Amino acid sequence: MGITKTTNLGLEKPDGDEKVTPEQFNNNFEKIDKECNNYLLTAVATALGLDPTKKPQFNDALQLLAVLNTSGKYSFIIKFKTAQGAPVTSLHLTWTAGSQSGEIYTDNNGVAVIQVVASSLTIVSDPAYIDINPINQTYMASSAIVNADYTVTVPSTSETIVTTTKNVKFLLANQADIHCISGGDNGNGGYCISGTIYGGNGGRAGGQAYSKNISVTKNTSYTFTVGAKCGGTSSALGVTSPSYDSAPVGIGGKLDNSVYTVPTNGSDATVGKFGTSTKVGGGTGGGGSGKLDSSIANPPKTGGQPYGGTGGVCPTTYNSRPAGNDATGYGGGGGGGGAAYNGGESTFGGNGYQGCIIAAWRTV
Amino acid sequence: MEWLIVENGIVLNVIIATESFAKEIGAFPFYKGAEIGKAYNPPTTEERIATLECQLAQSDEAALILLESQGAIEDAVLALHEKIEKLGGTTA
Repeated sequence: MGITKTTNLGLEKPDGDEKVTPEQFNNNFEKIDKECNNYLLTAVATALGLDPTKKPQFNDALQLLAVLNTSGKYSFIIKFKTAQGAPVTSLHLTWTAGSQSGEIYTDNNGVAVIQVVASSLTIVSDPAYIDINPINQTYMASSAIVNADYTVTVPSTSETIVTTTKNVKFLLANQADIHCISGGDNGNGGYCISGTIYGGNGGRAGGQAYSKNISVTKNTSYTFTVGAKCGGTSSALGVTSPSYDSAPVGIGGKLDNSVYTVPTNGSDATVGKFGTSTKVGGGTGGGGSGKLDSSIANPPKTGGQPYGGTGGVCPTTYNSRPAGNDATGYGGGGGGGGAAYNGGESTFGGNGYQGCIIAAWRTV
Repeated sequence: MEWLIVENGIVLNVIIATESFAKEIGAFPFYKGAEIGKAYNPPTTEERIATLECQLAQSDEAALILLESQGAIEDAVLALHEKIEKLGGTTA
């Protein structure tokens, strides 16, 4: 029996039939009154941009005022969250406000606090992020403190094709699949030597390589290298495609002492996307026609699927130089050139196509 | 745009990149004849000038042919007009 003290405020609480003395009552009253003063009035909390329902206290107001005093005229407090409401932490942003600019990462609550002199603030997400939609947002201040929420969205498909060498970062994903495709080769031109007429061979397809379930780290910069045509290799996250695919190219036709060798088609890609049956890399180029007279020559041959260039046709005049057809997509080999008139101009092969990197990602 | 990755004087790779990124990673400009596995041997300034002069001469020649063609067309049009006038017609 007696008087005990409460946990939080230390109020003197009588047990059983005990009663507090007037002095104890007054002490309790003063403590409660003082504590009430620590909470901001609803109007004050609203003016400061704080949520009154969360019972902001005097120290919260002081913290905000300190922020204002130490830096600038306007404070933008932006909370980044996912569509599911989770805070987006460590998001790398650059910002500009008038002549001021800087960069910032969101904190563990997904919040970025930026103090500036200008009343307009533009924030842009790191362009290296591959797994979120780019952020480019401007905020206008109508009071000293601007509180805003931003929902970070993600691309509709968690897969993309990288077509130029660049640095890539992941923000939300921690696992990726990579499929690298090298650049396809040009086709060869057609020509004539000692009366024998050769159609050009098709170009080789770019080589391919893939790997799945590769761990990636948030905000780490990974270089994705994209190979150019003619065997430029592509590489990312430890995966590198060989210069060329081993599939045979289309062979150009040949006319030798009235014996005509028919050109051949290019070959299809030998590797599917991430090992599936979906062909994404290039086929080889088709062979060029090898006979000088287009009226009697077999037609040029088609390139392999997908993207292999079709072989070139025969020239129809002594000096005409019809080229083979260019490859039509990533890693495709160009078609071979047509034949040449006996002693006439050689023909050109079609152009190969640059490589690329297909990246898919997920959070596990 | 195509750029070369060069190490110890050898072309290791040919890549697609923007100029700013290529310079950031120390890539070299692509030149005609560059090949993976071969020595990095870009044309000298003199060779580049010679190539440009050759291209210029070719374009001059093409322009001359074009001018001559244009003159021939004008002559033909003039002759046609004279013929029409002789026949009693009018021309614009």
